[in-house]
Amino acid sequence: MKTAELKLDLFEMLTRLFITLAPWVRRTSLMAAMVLFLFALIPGGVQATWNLSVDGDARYRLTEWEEHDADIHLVGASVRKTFSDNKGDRLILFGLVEAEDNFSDVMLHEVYGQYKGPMGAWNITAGRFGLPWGLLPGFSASRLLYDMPHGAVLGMNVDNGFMLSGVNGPLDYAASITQGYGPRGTPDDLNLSLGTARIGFTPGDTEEFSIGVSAAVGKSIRVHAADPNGDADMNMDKDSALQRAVGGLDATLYLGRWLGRVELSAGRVDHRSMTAGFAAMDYALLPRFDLNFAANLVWHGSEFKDEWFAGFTGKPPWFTIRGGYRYAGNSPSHHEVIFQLYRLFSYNL
Amino acid sequence: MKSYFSFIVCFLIIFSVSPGSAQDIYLCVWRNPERTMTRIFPDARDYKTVNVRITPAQRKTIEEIVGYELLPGQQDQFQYFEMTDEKGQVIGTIIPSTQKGQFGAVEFVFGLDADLVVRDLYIQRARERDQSFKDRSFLDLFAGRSIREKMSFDQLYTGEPTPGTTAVITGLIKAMVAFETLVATDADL
Repeated sequence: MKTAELKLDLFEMLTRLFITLAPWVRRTSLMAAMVLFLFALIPGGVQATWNLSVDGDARYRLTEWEEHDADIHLVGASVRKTFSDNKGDRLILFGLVEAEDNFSDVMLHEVYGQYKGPMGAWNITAGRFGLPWGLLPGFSASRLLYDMPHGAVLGMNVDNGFMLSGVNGPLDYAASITQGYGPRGTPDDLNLSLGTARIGFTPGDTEEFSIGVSAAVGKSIRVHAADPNGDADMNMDKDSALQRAVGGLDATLYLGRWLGRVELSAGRVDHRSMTAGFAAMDYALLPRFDLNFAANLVWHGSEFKDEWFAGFTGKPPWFTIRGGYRYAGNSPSHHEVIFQLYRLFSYNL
Repeated sequence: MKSYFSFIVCFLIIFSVSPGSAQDIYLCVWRNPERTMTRIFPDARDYKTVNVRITPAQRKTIEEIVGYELLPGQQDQFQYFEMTDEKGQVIGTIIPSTQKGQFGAVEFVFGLDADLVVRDLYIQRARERDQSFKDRSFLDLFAGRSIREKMSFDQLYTGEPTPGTTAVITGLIKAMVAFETLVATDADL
């Protein structure tokens, strides 16, 4: 059995790269990331395995057929360390740092510890983690060219708190109690104000079909990242916190060369009715070429927002290239053409 | 201008790493592994993740045996799971495998008991035109087979070969060769 080896040279290189490329990095986020990496380097007396992943997302946009720009949309770095006792995997530590918009915004997107029960029947997670809602446990559009409605439904897709989760045969469950500030706010008070839960069912042997039912009740911030005035350091006072009581259904289906995902949500947000629908479909047209379609619709009171996407994903040997056209019906910019170059590195140590 | 400069610099850095670390990596990304683990080993009480580094010499040995180059993402590391009983004793091994199909990766999982005999095999995720490789009649061809028989696995299937069936057979042989080279001792064999 292997014990974890300290890769100080690799992490030192990554740290220097981070500091060199991003002199305008927010100090607090960087310090938090450093603490995470240092903690991950501490060898325990038990056996441990590592996973280190880095991904880069560069994009070009043409907006309203006139304005164009290119940037490093996002660079992410994650480290995952699994400690095992003599019976099995016991403790997982995970951290994900993301730098967005040409490294102008660095955020500790996820950082948590998870204590695993036997055979995953129950797991206790504490920290900042993805919320157990809808498609989120198995799918994220953060690296894709379209959005999902979680900002409108929950206010965010990751939050700080505690979660109990597990798998039992075809059923999987998760329930969390979190602060409701998302990844950009960690108040001193524990103040757990948002409860979220999901039960999933995956029948059959090949896991081609899965469905889930979700619910969320409580209070959370208005949007994922910042308030409308652009201030990310917001307090969840009565003007910025929204009361939420929502339910959701989700489904994923692999059908030959088709892959479909659907998520429907409904309830009350900010004392007004809210309904959201998301659907995405991928079709393997060629061995290394997919067609992608997505729709993201939100009704909130009398407000309606719609977003439609059609595009492609190409997978040459070195990287992934995506492109497409996005139409936003109720937005200052209706038309957008986007191209993305994406690359992922992942190592187990 | 500043944003374009940053974009160009970062673009060159991100895409300057060698192709060996590139995007076309066939990693075993396995969500909720316990669900399939309990199907193969219902008597298991826990599992332990094991990652094994593959040295250049070991990689050469594996590639010489299987007759082709290992896929990117599988050249430097081999991951498997030890299934344990209540006392922490290893009762078997779960190996996730990924092989190139016609329309992407064919992901599947198989289990070896303590005698290195195939317990069972399950397809995880695949988007192939022909789905016959998911039939139990095909997958059951390998159940009860010893790791010592691995090099004759391609003779077990007498039907019309499809990209999916070829991927499963090839991936199964490859994973077994890797396990035998990296993990199994002479006493096991």
